[in-house]
Amino acid sequence: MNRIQKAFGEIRAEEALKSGTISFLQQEIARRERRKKPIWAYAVACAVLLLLVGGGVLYWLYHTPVSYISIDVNPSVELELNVFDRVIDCQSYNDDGEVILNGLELDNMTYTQAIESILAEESMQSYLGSENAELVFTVSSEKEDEITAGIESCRGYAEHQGNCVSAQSGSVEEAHEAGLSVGRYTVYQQLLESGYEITPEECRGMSMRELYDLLEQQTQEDSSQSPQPDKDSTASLPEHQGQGEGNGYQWGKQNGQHHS
Amino acid sequence: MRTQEEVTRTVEAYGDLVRRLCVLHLKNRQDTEDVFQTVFLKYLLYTGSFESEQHKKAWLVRVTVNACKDLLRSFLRKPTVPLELAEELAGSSDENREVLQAVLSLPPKYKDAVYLFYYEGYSAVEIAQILHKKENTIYTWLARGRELLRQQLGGEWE
Repeated sequence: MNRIQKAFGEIRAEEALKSGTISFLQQEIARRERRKKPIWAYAVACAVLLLLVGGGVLYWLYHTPVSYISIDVNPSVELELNVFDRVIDCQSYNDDGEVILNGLELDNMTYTQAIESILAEESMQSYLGSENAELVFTVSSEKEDEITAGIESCRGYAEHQGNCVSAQSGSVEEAHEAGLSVGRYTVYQQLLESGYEITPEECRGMSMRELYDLLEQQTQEDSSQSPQPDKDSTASLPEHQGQGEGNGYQWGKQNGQHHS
Repeated sequence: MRTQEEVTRTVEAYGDLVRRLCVLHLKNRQDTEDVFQTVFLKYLLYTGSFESEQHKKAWLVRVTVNACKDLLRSFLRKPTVPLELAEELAGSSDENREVLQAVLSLPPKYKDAVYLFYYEGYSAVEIAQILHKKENTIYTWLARGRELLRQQLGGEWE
């Protein structure tokens, strides 16, 4: 040990000094513990607020429709999907459609599950089974491709030879304003564009098969440059179910194709 | 914030160290109490973690040295009463008192380096780290301090 160690070694912290410091610090600890609580309470309040807001946002997000799938045969039914591809609502757009949806609980299902459920419905079978029925799925969505692939992978789709088309963007509101599902509205638009005069109410009652037949006939007529058929409204009313009502237009030819 | 237990343990373990550093710089009981409270309050509120006891000790040395400097610079301290120190050491031998007074009479800069080197056994490199000075500076201080002590205490003081 050197002399410095010897000299300084004698110097100790006095007991009074140590205990005085310790009790001073005890007071400091107590003081700070007392102060902490309000901050803790604020933290909890903030957390609760965040949870509520977060919960609200999630709820809103969950219930905001981003995609629509219209299922039309005769019955006209439309599924609203949220961003997670789950059904948040389903609407019927004609009387037949209402019958189908009656008793079905589709909320929160994935759209494929919902589609299988609808297609499996008892009341659906008569429509699907009728000759040359057209089962049309119309998709209005930013993820059109994804959803189309999903629909096409449904068992029911293959079984009943469904057809999947895309809707024009923005047509959902217009369709609903006209009282039609997006699927029917799309065909309705196409008919109008081809020069055919038809009202939404008329479309609502017709099967997709009939509407497509009309459209086909229209476009064929257009391409073959025959006179426009529209002005006479009685002639265009499609009660005939594909049977020709001789009025000079080429119904006969179409008939042959329909029933082949 | 550290626990009551940790704080008590630290005061007991390092109270002497802090006391000795205070002797180097401070001249009265009140100042020493102030520095004691400051140093261990800082320890209480320190939010970092210590890698080892060595790390903790070095940290306490630095905090104490800085606290002493701050106190001396402030206008709040009472005027010094040099006699107080002599009273405290009344029981020790002449020889020890002589060494103490020699060290205390060194220029302030050298005192810490000399104490940390000769009493605590830190190397010059370690002292440089603790006091945040360059290594060369510490070597110089030690050399000069040693020289001054030799003049005061005679050649065989080490």
